[in-house]
Amino acid sequence: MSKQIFICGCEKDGKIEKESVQKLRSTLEEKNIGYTYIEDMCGTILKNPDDLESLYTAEDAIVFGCQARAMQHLVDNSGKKIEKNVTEYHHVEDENQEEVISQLESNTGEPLKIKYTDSWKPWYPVIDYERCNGCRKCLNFCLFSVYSVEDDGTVVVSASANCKDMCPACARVCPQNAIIFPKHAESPIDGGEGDGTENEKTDILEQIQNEDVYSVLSARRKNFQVSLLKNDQFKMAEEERRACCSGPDKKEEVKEEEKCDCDCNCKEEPESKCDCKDGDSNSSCC
Amino acid sequence: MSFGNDLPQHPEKLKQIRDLIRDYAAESELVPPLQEEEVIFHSGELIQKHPELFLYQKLLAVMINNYAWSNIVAGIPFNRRILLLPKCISHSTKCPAKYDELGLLCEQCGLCDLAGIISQADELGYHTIVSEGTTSASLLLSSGQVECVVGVGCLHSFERSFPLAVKEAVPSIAIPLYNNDCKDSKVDRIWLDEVLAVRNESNWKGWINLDTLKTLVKEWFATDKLIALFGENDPTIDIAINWMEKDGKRWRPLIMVAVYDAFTGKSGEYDETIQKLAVSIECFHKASLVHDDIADEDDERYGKPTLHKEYDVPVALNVGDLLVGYGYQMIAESGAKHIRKLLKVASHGHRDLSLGQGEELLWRSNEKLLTQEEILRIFSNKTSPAFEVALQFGAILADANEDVQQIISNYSKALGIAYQIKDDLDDFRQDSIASGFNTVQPSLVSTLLNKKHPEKMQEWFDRMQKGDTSIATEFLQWDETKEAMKATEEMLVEYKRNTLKSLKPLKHPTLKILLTRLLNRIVPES
Ligand code: SF4
Ligand code: SF4
Repeated sequence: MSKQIFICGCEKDGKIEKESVQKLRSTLEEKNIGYTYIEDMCGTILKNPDDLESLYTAEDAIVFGCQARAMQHLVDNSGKKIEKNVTEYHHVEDENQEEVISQLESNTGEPLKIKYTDSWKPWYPVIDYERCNGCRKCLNFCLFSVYSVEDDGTVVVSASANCKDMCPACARVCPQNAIIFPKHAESPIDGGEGDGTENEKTDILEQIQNEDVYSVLSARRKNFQVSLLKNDQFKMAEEERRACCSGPDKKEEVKEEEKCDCDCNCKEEPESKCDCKDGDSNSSCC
Repeated sequence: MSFGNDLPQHPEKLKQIRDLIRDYAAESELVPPLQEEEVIFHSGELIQKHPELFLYQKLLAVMINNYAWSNIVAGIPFNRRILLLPKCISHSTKCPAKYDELGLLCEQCGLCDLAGIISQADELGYHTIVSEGTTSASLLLSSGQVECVVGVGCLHSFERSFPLAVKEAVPSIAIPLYNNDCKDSKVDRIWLDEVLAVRNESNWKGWINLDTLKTLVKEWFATDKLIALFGENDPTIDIAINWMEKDGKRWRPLIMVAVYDAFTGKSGEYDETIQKLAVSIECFHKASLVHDDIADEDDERYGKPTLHKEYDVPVALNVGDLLVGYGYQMIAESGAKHIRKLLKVASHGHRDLSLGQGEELLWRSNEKLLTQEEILRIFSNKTSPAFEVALQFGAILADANEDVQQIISNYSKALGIAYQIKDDLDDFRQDSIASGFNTVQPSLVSTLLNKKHPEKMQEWFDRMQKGDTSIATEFLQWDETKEAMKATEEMLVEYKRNTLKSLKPLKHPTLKILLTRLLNRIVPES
């Protein structure tokens, strides 16, 4: 059986570019590849889950939409997907898109559409159970009882509709970064991989409980001001650098000069036993 | 929007309501901290006078509580205040700020109102936190360290943090957001600015830092200090000093000094009179422990042998007596202004304690189950006097009047019962119950169990008589036992509430705040 294609448009106050979605749809149509367009998967999963029958039961499927991790857990957590279902998830702006599409069979039918007409904006958390360790911080944290705990101790999102629009606070509290809000603007809360600087877990919550609250707060403020200042200086330095190297070519030149003229691989991949390290060649090459 | 949850959307209307409440509050002399029931009562009164306000029930409650605190907050220096702002004021899509676990670190981009509010607060010296949700607020409020909070938030979040603020008696003012939907929220700047800048002389005597006080009090029980007071080169005195040094929680001396500070506001300097009285209170306490251990045939205390195990019963009895003697000597030689009053309080405490103990000892020999009333009476007599003596000493030292003394007495009674109920419950929360608890020690849990399921109690009793040791563990797993524990937990809540209720007529805010905080420390949540 051929792969079934789904595209989520994230239409309800969505976060993905309409143009990218449109482009993808046109490409598929040009190639005569059949697909199902889901107006808003977050919404449909919660409000009209039956509409997604074809996704749940597809044996082999590809879904294009927001962050892969977000969609995967969104679908997995519904508990409706059949076991043998293999589904790949891709961002609509995925770099490998062309490659993926080139492997698809054509002439697989007319495009279908799954509508989402509810006025409610589907904003609710999705738990990534590969990360969640069941600590219940989210449960204790949420004001609106969105979370609950099953008999076996699993923390679940049980009252999604109670969740407050745009409040991602529990995701920040989660020590595992396990909570995803697919429609959130920032990574990793949106299910992306993040840039590694987010949610830096300091021990400030512990400090507050064990040390003098006021000194902890003053220190926090100072640290932050220093980091802002550093940021400013950094920005200034960057601008200055840009100003003094006029144009991108010059920058390239500078880089070229630094490279040595040996022909070892370490220019691309560092090698430990490259002899250009001790010769009279430019050592910066390794 | 649910009933009573509304907020007028105009600053003028808000101001109007605030003025109404100001007049009402001035008439009814609100002394903080108010308990939830009191706040609800007052908002009910207001609605009766101004029926059109019924839409704003929750807002009224918040405002009444604010007014109760306003004078105190005005007396607290800016740099001891914490401003809690909600993250939802920030720009919902364009805010560039990063977060740490406490909340948002505003970069002052100016896209939302936060930048302005924060700089103003900074200038005044506030500590500001922009929190997402209520975690940071709850942590701060329950840390027992925070002296004052000005909080902005939605009415929902106040409902959650209010009980915490009441429990720790944190002077606080809450300013509700116009909207409750967690996004691009707005706060009434006129109102906020007014609150932020308030600073006046007030009847606030200063926040009492129980932790530093504790460290200070501990120093009065160092060996050399005790030798200076008791003398030396006598083996019996050595044993007494040694016993006095063991386990340095020093709760009772700490309570005395804290109450004294609440009246005088003079934290930090304590003359010899105060130190001697502190030691006298501890002498009485330690003496009663020695005697208790003998009566209960306990082998260990503080993880070490009890005095009568380390030596023998006659020696222990005698050391206990010696400490009682020292206790009275310290009062007599303290040089305090009201020695006669102090002696009266100490001796009455001593008497009541012995009577409570006596009732328990006489009951023990006839192996009959006590009724609930009898147990509560024993609980109260056994524990309340020690708390009361410490509290009254502090009050007497600070020249408190009769009314205050009466309130302290009522407070101690309820506090003592709550303390014992908690202790009783803690015994049931172990893995097994070692001693046959309801023959040696009165227990509310087992009394309640017996009331509802006498056959279970009988089963327990029979098996214990036959020397079946597994019952000590099994007993705790019975559903009936758990049910009785639950009922006991409810009584604990009730007695804690009674303790706070006893403070209602207290006109002295600093003392009222202190006693509210002490309840929480002496009978902590488990
Ligand atoms: S806070 Fe995170 S790790 Fe903890 S239970 Fe919630 S989702 Fe799981
Ligand atoms: S002013 Fe601060 S909080 Fe507001 S949007 Fe800018 S950075 Fe965010």
